[in-house]
Amino acid sequence: MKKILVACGAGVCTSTAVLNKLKSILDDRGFKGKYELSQCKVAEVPAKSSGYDLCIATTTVSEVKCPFIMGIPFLTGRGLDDVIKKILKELEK
Amino acid sequence: MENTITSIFDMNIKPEYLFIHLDAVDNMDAIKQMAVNLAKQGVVKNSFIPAVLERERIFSTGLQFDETGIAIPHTDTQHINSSAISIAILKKPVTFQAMGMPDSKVNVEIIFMLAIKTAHGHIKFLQTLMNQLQNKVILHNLINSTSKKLLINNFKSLFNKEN
Repeated sequence: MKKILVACGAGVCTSTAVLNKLKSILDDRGFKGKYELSQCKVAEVPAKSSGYDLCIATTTVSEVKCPFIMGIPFLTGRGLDDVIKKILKELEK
Repeated sequence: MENTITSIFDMNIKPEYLFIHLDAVDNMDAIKQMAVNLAKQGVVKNSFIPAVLERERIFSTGLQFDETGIAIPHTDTQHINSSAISIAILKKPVTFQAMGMPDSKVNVEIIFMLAIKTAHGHIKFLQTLMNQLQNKVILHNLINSTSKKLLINNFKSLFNKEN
């Protein structure tokens, strides 16, 4: 089971949008049941991220203690294919 | 004009929350005008105004789409009375910092201010909104709405297919 942390500034808006898009993409690619998603504020990332396999955020983050991927393409669609490739690579590790 | 409130997946929208050709000197001015209006309408508490401005300074919300830029200013749930969306089409574009990319700027033509009362709520609304805005024609039509009535109808139509 891979643990993925999705973060944004307030933890209420963009991380929600990212989380759901990510979920539908991962399920489509056959990862259903093989991952766990959690959501938090970016300020919580330094403390929380050590327990995760991957962190995706819509802001820059400092002191992230697991592999990090920028999640803006989930909102705009621009460069999304590359981001998905990176995420799948992390999940297949 | 229909002055009735409409709820799209529990997010309220009505003509009083909309601006056609908002005249703003910069991004903060635009955000302030929209936030003051939402406070006046009772959608948010007065504390929302400084909070959303401060949030924008720390976590900017400009998003670059293929042909234009948008911004989605928002802040913590404690400042919100009822979930709603306010939309401003700008008279002339203003510059926002890009979300997650402190060195990039976005030329913003339309602002969607989100008042979200429930953390992690409104999933379907947010998901549909972001998906639909990626469509160039849809975004172009929204920006070119010439009246509040047209804007509200164009905006509602984004969610029709998903209903």
